Amino acid sequence: MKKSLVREFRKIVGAQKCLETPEDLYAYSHDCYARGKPELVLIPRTTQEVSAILRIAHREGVPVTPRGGGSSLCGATTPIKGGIVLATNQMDKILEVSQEDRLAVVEPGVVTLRLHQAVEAVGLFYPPDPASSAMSLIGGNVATNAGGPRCLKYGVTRDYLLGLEVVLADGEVLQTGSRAVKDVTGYDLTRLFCGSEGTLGVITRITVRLIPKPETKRTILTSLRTVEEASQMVSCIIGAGILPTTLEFMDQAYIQTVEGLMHLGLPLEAGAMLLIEVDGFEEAVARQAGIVERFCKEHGALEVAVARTPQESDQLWRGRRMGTVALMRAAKLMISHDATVPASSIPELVAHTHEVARQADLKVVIIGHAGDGNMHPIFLLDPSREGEMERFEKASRELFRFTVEKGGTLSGEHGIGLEKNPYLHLQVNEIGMHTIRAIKKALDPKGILNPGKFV
Amino acid sequence: MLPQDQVIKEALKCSGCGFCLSACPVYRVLGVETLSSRGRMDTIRGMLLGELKLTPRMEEILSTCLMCQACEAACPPGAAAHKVLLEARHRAVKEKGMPWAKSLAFRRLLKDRKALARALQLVRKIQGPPPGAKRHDLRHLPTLFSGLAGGRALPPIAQKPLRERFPERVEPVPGVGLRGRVGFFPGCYMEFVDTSIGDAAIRVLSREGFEVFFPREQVCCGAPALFSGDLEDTLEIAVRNARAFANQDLDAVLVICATCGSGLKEGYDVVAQHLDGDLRDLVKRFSSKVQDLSMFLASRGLRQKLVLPEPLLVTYHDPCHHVRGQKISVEPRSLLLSMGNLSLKEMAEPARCCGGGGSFSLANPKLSIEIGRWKINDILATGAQAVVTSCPGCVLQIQEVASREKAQFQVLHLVELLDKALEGK
Repeated sequence: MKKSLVREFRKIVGAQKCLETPEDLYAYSHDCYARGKPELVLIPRTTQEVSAILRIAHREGVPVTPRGGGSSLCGATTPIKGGIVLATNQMDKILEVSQEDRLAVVEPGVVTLRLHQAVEAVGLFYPPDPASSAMSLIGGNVATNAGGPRCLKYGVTRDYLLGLEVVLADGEVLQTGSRAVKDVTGYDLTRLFCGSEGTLGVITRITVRLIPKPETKRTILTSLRTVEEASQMVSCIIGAGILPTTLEFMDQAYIQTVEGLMHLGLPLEAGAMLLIEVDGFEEAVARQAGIVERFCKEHGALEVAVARTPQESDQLWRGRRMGTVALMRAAKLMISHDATVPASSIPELVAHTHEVARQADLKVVIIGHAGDGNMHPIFLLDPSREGEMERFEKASRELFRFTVEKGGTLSGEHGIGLEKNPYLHLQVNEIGMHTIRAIKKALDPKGILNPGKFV
Repeated sequence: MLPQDQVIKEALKCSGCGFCLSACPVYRVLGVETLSSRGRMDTIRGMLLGELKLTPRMEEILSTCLMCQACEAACPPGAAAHKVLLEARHRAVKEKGMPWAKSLAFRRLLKDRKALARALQLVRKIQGPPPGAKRHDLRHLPTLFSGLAGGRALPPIAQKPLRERFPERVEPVPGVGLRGRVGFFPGCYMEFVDTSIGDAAIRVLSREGFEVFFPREQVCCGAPALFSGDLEDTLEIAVRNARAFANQDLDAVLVICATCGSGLKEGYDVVAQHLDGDLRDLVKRFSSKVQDLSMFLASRGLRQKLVLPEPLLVTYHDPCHHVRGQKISVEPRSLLLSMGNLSLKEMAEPARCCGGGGSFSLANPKLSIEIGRWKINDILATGAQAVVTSCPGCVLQIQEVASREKAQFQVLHLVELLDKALEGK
């Protein structure tokens, strides 16, 4: 990058927030998926600074890759075309939490967990809870339309957006939406930017809708003989008018692998386990938990455990939460997919995933959010094995194909980024791609925003 | 300082997930990835793999880590970040030399207790800190002579060091039966600055029926050398300390400083592999005997009842080198809770680093104080009359930042409270 240009950028954010040493560029060059090579890192603190940066970048045709927590699993925030990494983490103010209007206005650098805590302190609730909540930034959550275990009942990030402030590629500042829950004025631009992975604009302010915090919750852990039985159980629960907050699925390979690593006393003979959570008022929760427990027993569950205290609940979550940690520690390389299918196709997807992995000589275990069909096959890879990564690549392609064939989607919550870019055409046809490109061209004619993604 | 392949293996464990970021006190203040737990691991790995060089920015990356290990506690794959950092610092020392340890005075004083005592008395007499240092407050005393005080204050030096106040062997109080023999490793701060904490420890032990062996040949624990990557001096110090306590048939060697404890236990164990046969065994044997006083007393049990003269509401701060360095957090609390007239109210994040971090506070004074402010606010929120902890580094840091913030609470070492609770027994 030209020295004079760097000087211009430095003038906007100040020397402390304009980083260009090889070490800084290295530290900002990657997410969990891939490494790129930026030429400059800028850490703006205001919308005006972001706007001034983009105005110059647009004028000069310099690539800009926005960055939140930098924890993308698919390379969404990897700067693959050089240019600027725009880190939003220092725009971290919670500007407003309104109990009366049940909304919060925040800057993009607010850590998701902090938002949870701030609104729960006044009896409100922001449901989306991606696994990375403890460090992910709300701006990144919006840009990737983050999900999480609670989304079965409550929906995903997009369902809680009332409005956004977005700096467009040329530096103009766009306001979308309003403070009203009902809003049909014009195109739904808010949702267009949600999940756009930084390719259409830089989100600088977010107004989220909040709901009352549920009074209490109950956790139930049950093990079943087969995946089919687990799937029937899910239909049965929802068929009875119960929409659990969370319905986590663990398959036999997962149970056995985690048990081998952690010795928690998980049932090795079980074909699947379900972790079910219901929330709401105490009376309703007690009744729902009772029905779920009865179903489990009637359907020949091997075991049923109901937690009544937060400590007991944590205990039941151990196999699920600590299990993935144990896998991470044991595997040389762990890659988790997030293919999502209609709920009825879960047994097929599980069976097919194991079959594909067996043929490709790969180790895979499966967990997932059973209620919404969002499965996470976790591949435990050893890149030092001959041809392992090629076989993984091939297996992935087949699984993506299968998912789309079943009416599902490539990604339920992780995003497209670099990882799934080559497979985009499996789901989005010619006309779809044309529409995507037309939108991109209209908003970012020079293609400076997170270039190389969504194309 | 670990074998190369082991360090690379630890560094490669980092998957970049960033779960450590919320735990990293430095990142929470600065908000810059490069100077965060994840960025540090990433760039150090880049250096170890030859993709980055030891530039001034890299030196800054290496020196702005508190070594509080909070990132490790939050790390899903469990990467031992502090070991990777130590190796990087060690390389930096090999490649560039150690800026502050180049000072011959520093290296000599680490290893020569008498010389350190004399030098400190001189400092006391001229009633002011040496050039470069400001008022009170230095963590590891030998660093005082390195010219690296960086605006942080220097504590008043005790009139009489601990070694002149007690004989080499202190018998149990008359009338109390002999329960065992322990070695005592007070560490620099207790020996030369706040000797009252050392006094208290010796009194508690002898009142509880332990003979205390306090050998004069012991030197600094070596943590300042170890943590800055100076392997050569650490090894020499380790051998000296191991020799000082050798062949004494001791139940344990007791420490009352979390950092000394971490250094003597894990630190010596790691560096010992650079020694040969007999010396390695000597250091390892010594290292395995080292125990924190609170652990020792909690496991042996107290014969006498602990009662404070007056009711006191306290909160407890976990030193990094306790809660993560040595996995100690239950024992100090169980001792506190066994005291009559004492109530304990936990603060929001008792295990969050106070920002002291030994020489960190000297190299990064502003950052250190900024991090310390959170701790002060957490303590104030409990309404406690006193904060209790188990590391003189934390005591100093919390005291200094509290006085800057005009906060009104006492800062006590756990041993001081134990002593008070046994008084008149």
